[in-house]
Amino acid sequence: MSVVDIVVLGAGVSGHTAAMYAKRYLGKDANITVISPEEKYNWIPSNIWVGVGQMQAADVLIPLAPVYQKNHVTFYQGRAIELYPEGRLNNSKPFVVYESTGTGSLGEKKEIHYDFLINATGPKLNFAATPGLGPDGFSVSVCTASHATEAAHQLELVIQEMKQGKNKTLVVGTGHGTCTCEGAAFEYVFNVDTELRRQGVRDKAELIYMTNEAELGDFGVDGIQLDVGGFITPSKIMADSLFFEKNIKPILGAHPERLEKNKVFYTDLSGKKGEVDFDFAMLLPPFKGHRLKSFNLQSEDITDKLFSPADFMRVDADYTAKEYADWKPEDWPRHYQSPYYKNVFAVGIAFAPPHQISRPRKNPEGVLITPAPPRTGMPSAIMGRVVAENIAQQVKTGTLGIKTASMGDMGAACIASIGTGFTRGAAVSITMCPIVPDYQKYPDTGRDTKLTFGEVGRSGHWIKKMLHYLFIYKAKGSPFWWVIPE
Amino acid sequence: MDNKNIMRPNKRTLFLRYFLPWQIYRFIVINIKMLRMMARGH
Repeated sequence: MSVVDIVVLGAGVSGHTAAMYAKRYLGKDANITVISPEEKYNWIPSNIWVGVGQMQAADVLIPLAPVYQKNHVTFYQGRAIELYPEGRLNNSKPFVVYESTGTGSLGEKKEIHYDFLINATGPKLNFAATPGLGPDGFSVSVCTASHATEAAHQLELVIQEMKQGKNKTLVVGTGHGTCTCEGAAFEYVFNVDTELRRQGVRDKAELIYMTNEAELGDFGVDGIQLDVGGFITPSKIMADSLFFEKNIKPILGAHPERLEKNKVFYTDLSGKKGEVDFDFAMLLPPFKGHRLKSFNLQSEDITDKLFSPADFMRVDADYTAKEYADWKPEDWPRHYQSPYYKNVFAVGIAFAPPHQISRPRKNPEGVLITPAPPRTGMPSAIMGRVVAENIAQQVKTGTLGIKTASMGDMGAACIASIGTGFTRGAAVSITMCPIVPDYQKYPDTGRDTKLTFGEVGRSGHWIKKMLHYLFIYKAKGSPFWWVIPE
Repeated sequence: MDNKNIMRPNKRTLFLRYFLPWQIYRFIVINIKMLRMMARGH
């Protein structure tokens, strides 16, 4: 058996997981190369705590080079820009072109040939979708460790002013009608609440949660029917209760149209226009994919064939346009394999979802205000592992493995922090199975109620903290890292 | 929000959310539930 070349684009949760498992399964039978524009791995779920100053950026970042060196994975710091899945006329081995982002070789372009390609390029933070949004505009974000550090700094400045007796308005939420990651915004607003209480200034703050969800607790998964206290309870009831309890004012179905200094202008699902004056705003951006300019053997541009209009890579999903009532779990990909090139895969945020999970909604002006489907964290890591496993089987046996990681089958756990500290901390612990509701299998709720539950408590905070340390340990490739499930 | 239409935790629920022995028990229970979900769904 000759040594195969596996190239992984991206070293986020899905890419890093795929690379580490591919090396574990194939050992010396494969050269694994990871190309990532960042030199450090970011455990993004804990950015929430960096964003309120309860953790430092260093606590959520891991230098990648030593981890890959230890595990015999080649690492190049760069950004993939072109894809040649059929190679060139004089060499039919496929390759990608990347541009170095490392110091000393910044901007240099290089080619890397592959037998298998795993596209795990993650999201492009599309702050430009809403004028004035983002760190270069008038709001902060917690999408990266450096963004979260800046958010913590801005929050602290506002808190200091509140300590001098000033009243302040803080807006947290989504910065566009098509954002995803409502869970992260949810976590952040409750952590801000906890931080304000800890610093004794909660009475000086009006805390507003601006979200593209039509109702609280949608989380981009069309809400969840939770088994709580002997009742099957919609997540909306639980979320409404928490927001009321903590005195956080929600603005629902909101699409921020633009931001100016200390002001956000929005429209909502009813078509109403509104504006909110703020002193601090953490609004998440919508995501786009990373479009790789792609060419066939004849050097014809095939980018539009491989990538969706939102720049995500098409895989084995059913992309036929359908009404919400006709959506099925089977629409979702199972192997994350490109339908055009069998040795190309896309996992995590990089794959093109067939549609949203939440019911699509437009306001009277036709503006789409619907959460995009979440595919970060746990599902993203499982996709990375399963793709690595299937590729390994193909390398060993000549037949691609048949393991699947469909969001229509797999479950997910979401531990949404609502405050930090061993004694003060708490979290909403939610599990759901499957992620994409299956109303044929579970006609009443769309999900298996034995595996779908939620509760609030201090134990959730301990679990979130435990997961932080476990996943940092795992990401470092420390001894027996593979024992820790995704 | 109108509090008449909102489910609110009673004193017992608020107490249990932070009551150490109960939360240690819930920590174990939630972990088992998550493992069951992983075993089924992965």
